[in-house]
Amino acid sequence: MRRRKFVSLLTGAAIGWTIAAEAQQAEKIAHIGYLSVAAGRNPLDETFEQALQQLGWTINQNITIEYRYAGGRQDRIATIAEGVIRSRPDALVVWGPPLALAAKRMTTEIPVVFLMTFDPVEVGLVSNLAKPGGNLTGVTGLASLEIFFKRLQLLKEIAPGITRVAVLVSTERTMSSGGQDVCRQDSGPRT
Amino acid sequence: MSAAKILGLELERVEVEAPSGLELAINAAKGRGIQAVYVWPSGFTFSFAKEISDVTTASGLPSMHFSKEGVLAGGYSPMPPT
Repeated sequence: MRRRKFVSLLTGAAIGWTIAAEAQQAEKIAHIGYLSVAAGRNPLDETFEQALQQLGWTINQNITIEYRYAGGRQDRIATIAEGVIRSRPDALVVWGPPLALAAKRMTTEIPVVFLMTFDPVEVGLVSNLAKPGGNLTGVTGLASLEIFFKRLQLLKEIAPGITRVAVLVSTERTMSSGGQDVCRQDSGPRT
Repeated sequence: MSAAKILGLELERVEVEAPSGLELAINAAKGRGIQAVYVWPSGFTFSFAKEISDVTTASGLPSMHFSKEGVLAGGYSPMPPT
């Protein structure tokens, strides 16, 4: 639940930024398409709405959300994505690579905010993280090398005198093969 | 050449199995000459970000986090913490 809250807050912030300018200029009710692989309404949705509320977006006052759930069925993804996109939302929120890829295929105009734990570059959503381009942006809890190196570089800037860095990992198998390669490459037999 | 080497950094993978092992693992790494800790994103390191930050701070090692919890507990994050 805690993780759900934090990812929802992030996505809420991203979607808030995405729609803020347009909606405030026109003083209209912003319309969000929300695509999830879940079976239906779940605590994540409520947390997402709470995050929006914290950012000044109140359901049915200045924002509406059109929820669509794939119910874990890959064969439903295209259908629900198409249905939401047809309603011309101001922005789309999509959870996971399949829905994000479907949204990418179906629209180049509607801003799409994705959330995933995969590398959006590897998945094929954006060309690179620095300048994603197109109409997609998002949040990822990924363990990609690009972010790894970017953070490493900034760590070096924060503490320029350091030469040896521990990469702290848990024994759970969540580290990408790329990340493991990085450690092997740089630290030799100990890794 | 890897980006780490370009930056003049040597990386060492440090594994932890449980929160109770954090202090030992971090202190042992420090004893081997480790000067900073990069917290690799995972469910574990997210869930125990505060504990990790507490241990690294107590050890005098700067730590790089990916989550807000780790930053609030005293670690760094070079990007908007997630």
